[in-house]
Amino acid sequence: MRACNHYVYITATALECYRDLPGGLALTASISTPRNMSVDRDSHEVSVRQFESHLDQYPRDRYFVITDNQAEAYQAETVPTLSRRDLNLLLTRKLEQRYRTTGYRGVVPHRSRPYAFIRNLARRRSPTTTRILYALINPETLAPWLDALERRALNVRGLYSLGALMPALTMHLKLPARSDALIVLRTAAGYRHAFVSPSGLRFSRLCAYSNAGDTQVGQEIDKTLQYLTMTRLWGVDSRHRMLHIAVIDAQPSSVALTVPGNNLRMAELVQLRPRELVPKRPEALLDATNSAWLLFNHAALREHGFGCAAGISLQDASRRANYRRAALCSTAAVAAVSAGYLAFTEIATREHNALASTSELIAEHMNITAQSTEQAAPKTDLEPEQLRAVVQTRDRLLARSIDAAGLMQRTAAALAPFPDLDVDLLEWSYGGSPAALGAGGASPPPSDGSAPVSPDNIVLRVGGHSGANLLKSNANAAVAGLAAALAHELNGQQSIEKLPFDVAPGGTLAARPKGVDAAKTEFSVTVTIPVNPEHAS
Amino acid sequence: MRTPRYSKAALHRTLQCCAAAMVVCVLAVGFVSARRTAAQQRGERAAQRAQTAKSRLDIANQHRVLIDKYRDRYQDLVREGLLVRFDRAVASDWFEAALSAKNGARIDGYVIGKDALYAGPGTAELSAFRVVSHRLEFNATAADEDEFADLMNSIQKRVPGTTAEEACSVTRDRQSSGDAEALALHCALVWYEFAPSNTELTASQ
Repeated sequence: MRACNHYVYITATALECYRDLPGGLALTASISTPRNMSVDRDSHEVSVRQFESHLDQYPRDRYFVITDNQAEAYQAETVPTLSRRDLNLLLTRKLEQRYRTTGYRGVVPHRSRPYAFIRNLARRRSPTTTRILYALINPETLAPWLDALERRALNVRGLYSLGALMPALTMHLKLPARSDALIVLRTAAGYRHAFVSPSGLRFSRLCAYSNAGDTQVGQEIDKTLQYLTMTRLWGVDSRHRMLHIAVIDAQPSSVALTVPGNNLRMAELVQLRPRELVPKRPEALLDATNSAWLLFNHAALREHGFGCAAGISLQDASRRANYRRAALCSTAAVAAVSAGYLAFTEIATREHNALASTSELIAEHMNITAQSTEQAAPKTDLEPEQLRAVVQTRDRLLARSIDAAGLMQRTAAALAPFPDLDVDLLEWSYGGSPAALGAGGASPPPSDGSAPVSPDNIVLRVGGHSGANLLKSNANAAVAGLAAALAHELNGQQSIEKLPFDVAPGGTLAARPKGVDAAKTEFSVTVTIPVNPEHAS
Repeated sequence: MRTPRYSKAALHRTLQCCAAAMVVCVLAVGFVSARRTAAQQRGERAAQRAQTAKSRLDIANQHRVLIDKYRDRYQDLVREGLLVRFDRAVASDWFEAALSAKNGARIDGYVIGKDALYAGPGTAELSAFRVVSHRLEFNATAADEDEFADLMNSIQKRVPGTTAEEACSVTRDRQSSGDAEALALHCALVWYEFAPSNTELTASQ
């Protein structure tokens, strides 16, 4: 069965239970109780048993106990402005001092005015507040019912006096801001009066039904106003704000209600029906005599906490219920997170397994393919890479052969523009100077006996002498031109080793005019031809 | 009578159940985490195996391509004597046989030098064989450049084996009295031998 809010409404002569069902508030039990249980003990025990059997049907409900009888006391206490903790300690001590005979006691919720502390400073008043203490002063009448709740360890969320809850009705009355109100509510026990100031409830009383009939409401309001004036709560000094009197009764009086007033005591009275206050109407309760159900809701109970049950063992079950709910919620959260993680991880695991299976299949397939390829490959004496290396190396070595005819033809082509130069020597080789040819190679062999690493260059040397009839400067120019022509023809880089006539700063020139035989006109030119090993010549 | 829902015993039991549920959740989370880790490791191993198999298949295909491309050529080279060990006497016969043709030039003498390992840049990939070079240097006399060209062409065509004419020096001696235009030649011909990789060069060679 779903847990609901369960309201136990206790009057002097009856006990009624209401449940807050999804369809609205409903009366589920009505038990009459003897007014004096010491005299009519048997009847009282029957009532308690009925209550207990009713409670056994709803073990999961959240119970709110609301009393509506005259055995209650209110006391205004002026306390200094303190920290919340110190104020609580102070009020608790005052409650214990004031109401020694009962454990059912509490503090009426107080609504601080905005900037109250600053206002007090501006008025040079001591920073104090007035708090209303109240208690249910006849605990013996409540004990059997509360014991029944406690014995069953039911989730009792609070114990309240109906009068303490009545400030919640001001929400429905749409009163002007900072106005006083006297709310008269007809309940099963009588007419409940509550004087509510902007700071909260200041006074409440229950007027039991009398023989006055329709005039009782007006008479009781007059008495209450006299009391408020006498206790200086209203109508004196600065407290002469407009008083709004609201009479909430499903069966309004047939006699017109009037309020005695004067210039200092301005009052305005309105009569309301419960169906005008609540949009969601519990139809079965709307026109009943008892309108206390108007206060059986979360809005009315919100500020009160445990009410008069604070500090007594009645709330232990509630505390355990909170622990239980916290533990269950935490466990549910952990379970939900774990379930999410499990689901996510399971999906990821399946994906990993699927990928792994696919990869294994691919690997197996490729291994088989590779094996078949390896088996189908022809057998060779060498590794395939070595086959390639042997063939390519052999081709490169063959390509090192220099085509002598081609080289001489290109040299001749480069020499053609210079008929006055006679060539006596033509040398070519790889790497170093061809002069080293006679010494056994292009460059000195390394000490380890291996052949020198031939650079991929062919060095061509052309040597000869210039003609006798050529001017010396022209001879040198012709040699320079030959070197350039050779470099151009062979795509190489020229270098002149020796000019016919030395023009270097450190050199000398020895000659005789017309002495051709004595002149030394030899020249030497080299060209370094870079070659690709693949195309050596 | 049933235990009340919000009694101490019920709360104690509820807390025990919650604790047990949380332990179960933790164990379940640990279990599935372990499964996931195992699945990840399996996937990684499978991916490695697939990569290895792919590499093996690539290598096999590359080898097949290389074999198809070079095997016939290699076998032809072997048949042509690529792997025949070098012999100076045989090489001398080859050289003289190449000169017997009527090319006009006159060989004055020749020398086949010591064996030498060849380690040029083109042989870096070759590990099955060592390349040994055998250098033959000869002196000759030619009447003109055409005779010289014919001589070199004849040597290149007729000398078997892997040979290269790598160096030459041509000198025209204008001072000689008998043959003013004769060319003095000094050239080098190199045989390259593909010897087994365990071949060691000795001083006698």
